[in-house]
Amino acid sequence: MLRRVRRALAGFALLAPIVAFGCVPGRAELVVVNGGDAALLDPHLGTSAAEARVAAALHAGLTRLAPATLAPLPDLAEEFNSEEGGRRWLFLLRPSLTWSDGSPLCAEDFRASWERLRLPATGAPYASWLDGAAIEIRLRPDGREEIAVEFPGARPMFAEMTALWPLAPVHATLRAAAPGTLPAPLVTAGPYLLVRRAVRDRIRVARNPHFWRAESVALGSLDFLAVESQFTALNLFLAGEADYVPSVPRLAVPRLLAEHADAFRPSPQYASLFLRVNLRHPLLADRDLRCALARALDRTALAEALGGARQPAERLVPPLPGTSRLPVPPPTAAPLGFDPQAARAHLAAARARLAASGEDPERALAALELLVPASELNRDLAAALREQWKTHLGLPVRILALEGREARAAERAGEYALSRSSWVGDYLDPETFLAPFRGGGPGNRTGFADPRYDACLDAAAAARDAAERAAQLERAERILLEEVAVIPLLTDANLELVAPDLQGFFPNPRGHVDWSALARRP
Amino acid sequence: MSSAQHPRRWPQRLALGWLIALAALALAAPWLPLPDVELMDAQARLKAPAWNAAPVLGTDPLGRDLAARVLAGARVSLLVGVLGALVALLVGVPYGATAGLLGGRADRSMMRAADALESVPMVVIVLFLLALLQEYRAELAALGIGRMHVFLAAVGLLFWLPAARVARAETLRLRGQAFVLAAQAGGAPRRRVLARHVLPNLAPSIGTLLMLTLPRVVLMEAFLSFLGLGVEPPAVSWGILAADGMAALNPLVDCWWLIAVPSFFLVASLWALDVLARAVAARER
Amino acid sequence: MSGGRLLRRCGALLLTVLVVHALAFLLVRGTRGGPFDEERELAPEVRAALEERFGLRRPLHEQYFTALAGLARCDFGPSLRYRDTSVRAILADSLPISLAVGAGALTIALLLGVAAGLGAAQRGGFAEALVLGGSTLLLALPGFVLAGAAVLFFSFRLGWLPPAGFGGVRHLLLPWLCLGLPLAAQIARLAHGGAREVLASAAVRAARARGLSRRAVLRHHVLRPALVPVAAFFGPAAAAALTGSLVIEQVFALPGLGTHFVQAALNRDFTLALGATVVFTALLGLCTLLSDLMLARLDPRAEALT
Repeated sequence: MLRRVRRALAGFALLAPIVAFGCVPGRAELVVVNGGDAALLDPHLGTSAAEARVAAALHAGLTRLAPATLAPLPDLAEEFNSEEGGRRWLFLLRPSLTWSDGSPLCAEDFRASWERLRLPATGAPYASWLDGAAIEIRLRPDGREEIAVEFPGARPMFAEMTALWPLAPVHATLRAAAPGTLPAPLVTAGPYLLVRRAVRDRIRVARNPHFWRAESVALGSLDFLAVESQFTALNLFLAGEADYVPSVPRLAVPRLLAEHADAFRPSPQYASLFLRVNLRHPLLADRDLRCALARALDRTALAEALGGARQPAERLVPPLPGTSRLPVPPPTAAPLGFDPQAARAHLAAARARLAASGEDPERALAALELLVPASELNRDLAAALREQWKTHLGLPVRILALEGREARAAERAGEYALSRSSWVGDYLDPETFLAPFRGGGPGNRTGFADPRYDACLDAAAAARDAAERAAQLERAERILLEEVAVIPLLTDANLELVAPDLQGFFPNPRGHVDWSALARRP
Repeated sequence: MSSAQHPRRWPQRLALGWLIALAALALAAPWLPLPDVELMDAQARLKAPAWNAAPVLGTDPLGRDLAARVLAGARVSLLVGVLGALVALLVGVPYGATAGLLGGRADRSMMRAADALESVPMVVIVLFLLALLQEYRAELAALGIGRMHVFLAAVGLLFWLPAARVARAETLRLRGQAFVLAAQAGGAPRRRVLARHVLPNLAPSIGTLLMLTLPRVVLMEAFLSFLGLGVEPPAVSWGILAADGMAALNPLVDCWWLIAVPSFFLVASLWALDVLARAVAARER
Repeated sequence: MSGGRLLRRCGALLLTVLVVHALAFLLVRGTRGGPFDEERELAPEVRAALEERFGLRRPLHEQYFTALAGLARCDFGPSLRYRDTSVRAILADSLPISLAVGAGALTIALLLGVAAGLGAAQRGGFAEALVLGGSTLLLALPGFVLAGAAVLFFSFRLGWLPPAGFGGVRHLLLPWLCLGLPLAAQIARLAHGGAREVLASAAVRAARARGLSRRAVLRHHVLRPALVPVAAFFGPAAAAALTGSLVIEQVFALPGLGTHFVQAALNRDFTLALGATVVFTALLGLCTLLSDLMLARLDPRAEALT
């Protein structure tokens, strides 16, 4: 009988390593820490940085961005040009392009995909990219297809936008699939195709043999790990288990600069970290309270607390990297600078108003809540913000940490007071930060609606030259900031860790990585 | 002669001393010369413990003093421990006593239900329920039930079963006693027998039960807070401190105190509670 | 164990799983709003089509029977968070990893615990004090404390083992250790208690007097009774391993069932939480059943008592 026990025990003991061996995935050629799980692989729906990285591998567009300069280069389109200062664009499609399943890719696919993007039923966050566009397909005498896009106003950066995933072609099976579901297998037209998707573990992609320049794609397979913790990502990198880490913890920056200078590339990012203010909230309808909250924040201290190359920001639009900073508006027009005394004065006014309306100011103010999507970095940010408000205003703001999807839903439903938001510029133009705040737009979520703001944005779109355009955009930003619909906090920074033997990688302000251009040094 | 019959006194003295010192420090924390729990000192980020200077137990990456946070965590963890154990007893003891008193089929079916629950992963069920109750956060808040109350109820419900069993065993023993038989012979309704005669006499064993359940509840609170399903920031508990410490572990920057300090407090307190519980139980016998 | 008893136990297990599933199903369906309420502003026709597709518009009892049929196939529908993935796919991906971690930990616990307990009982003195003291300490250690110490020492100081992630057996060694050691402590105590009683008994003293070697005494007289409390403990040990794995998987970033369950609870992904709950219940029930089977084999008296 004991022999049977021993045999059972031995079987049990062997079960463990056998099972472990059986489900070991094997290392891909490049392992990327994705900073979270890419939940939405549909290019029309994805918005997070994690989804953007995976989309950059799976989908290709009419153009692609040059690795160093981010200038648009031809990709699926053989050539492209614009007329009338960017109002009309023409793309000449390459002949004999195919999807990853071998079926032909033609201009009609582009048109149908873009129509789907614009359809309200799709609920695409980037639907506004094609606002007012008229799309036409022309057949040239030599049999090649040409896509003509015409906008009501100038769109000088449209060629950069066609390189990004929202404007990538989407296969007919995905177009026809029920919203939120993916067809299996997922048919794409990019340098890689989807091999395996393990939820909250990894997304594995392999080289797409049908890609038109597949022979120039050096890395055969990529793994996108759904690791969210920055420390875990750092540990994986140092142990050689990961080759790319998008962001490192602030603590590690000095040692990384000292010991891993060949791998650590901090650089400023064209990205903004700010707070959305819900203007429809009963407390925050009072501008004094909003000003109090905004002026009580010492952004320099915040930047130091969160570390890295983050810079304090008193404006929503970050300075364009490589260019001289946008002129700082005169103090009276910037109501959001750090001034604890002014903040307290604003708070006293708000308190008086509350008391006058018959409410108990302390109880009412105690209901103020800061909504943050749950993550390590946000936890630190929320704690720092709360500490600042407590110290300078004596207001203990509550923190509500919800999971990303829920936080977005609460924001959309207007069920929040203050919400931590961030935005990475999709193209190098201030409009990318300001466009979401049009009155009633899906990206607004603050209840801010000012016809002057929309008029400025329209004027910028119709502007004849760059100077006028910049002036109109700046005017719009000033309107937004005066209303304190957003409280700018910091410009975000790129704190990337890249394996030193990887070539073709260039840090850039948008954190854009072209996986098809990377190769390992021999 | 086995060593259990002549227990050495020093572990119990040490345990009692530790718990009293901890309770005293935790209660006196607001008056101690320690920084505020949430204060972020930009000059003192991630400082190692200086033992006889400030910061006594070091600071965390945001500059918050670890000693202040650990004592605040002590308040929360021990409070949740005591209240949670009380909830467990409040549910378990009447259940067990009723089963013992009723006897026969009712007793058997009640105990069988309890047995069936043993093969269900209660922690999993409780987490499931906690997640579901989050849906109704707003409605519950309107009723005045906060997340802490829900959490205490959940934690208490995890530990009612052993309490029920012990209560039942004790009730069965008491049932044979003369005074209970006399009360029942006098025609007293069962409820009164339960309330007036059985429950008060269960008091000593309830005391033991409380001592035995307490460390398990404290451990469960740390466990749940570590996972993020327990106490919410900005409140502090040992579980949250341990989670922060674990999250910050990395080979580049030394921060062993972030995990060592809350772990030490947690382990020491659990060990002390265990030792005392076993001493009380031994004396009971 | 007699065939009839075994059948009854299996029936009880099935009943438990069904009850847990039914309760969880009712609770999930009863929550305010459907799974698509929180998504972006869906056009009414689109939402109606989705709800039709996932069968959310039919009456409750019909939905329950569909869910029951799904349970037989282990199909719990799509995950609410990852709507293009089914819960079954997620469970299928993660269950092998959790099983590997749990099985390895339990094996270590059994081997180490029994060896330590028996050795302590036989040798006594310093070894005994060491084992008992060490086990008291280990029992008071929460899982994450042990994991933290292990990562600090083996991963960062020594650099022998990876600190997190999953890519092979190397990644499982630390989780096995951290999950298995506290269980080994408990098993050591139980084995020690059982063995000591037998070692002091007349039969053993007589055997030693006859000149039987220590090892023979161990095998013939001590092992079986010492293993009885250990076998009885197997069910609770599995429960403890399950609970502990929730934290261990999180600390070591293993994509197992525990991580998915905790995340589902945090994210309110109720279908995934439901599926994981049912799987955990089934696993625990099986382990309890196994424990009773082993107990019946080892000690016929136990069966007569229960």
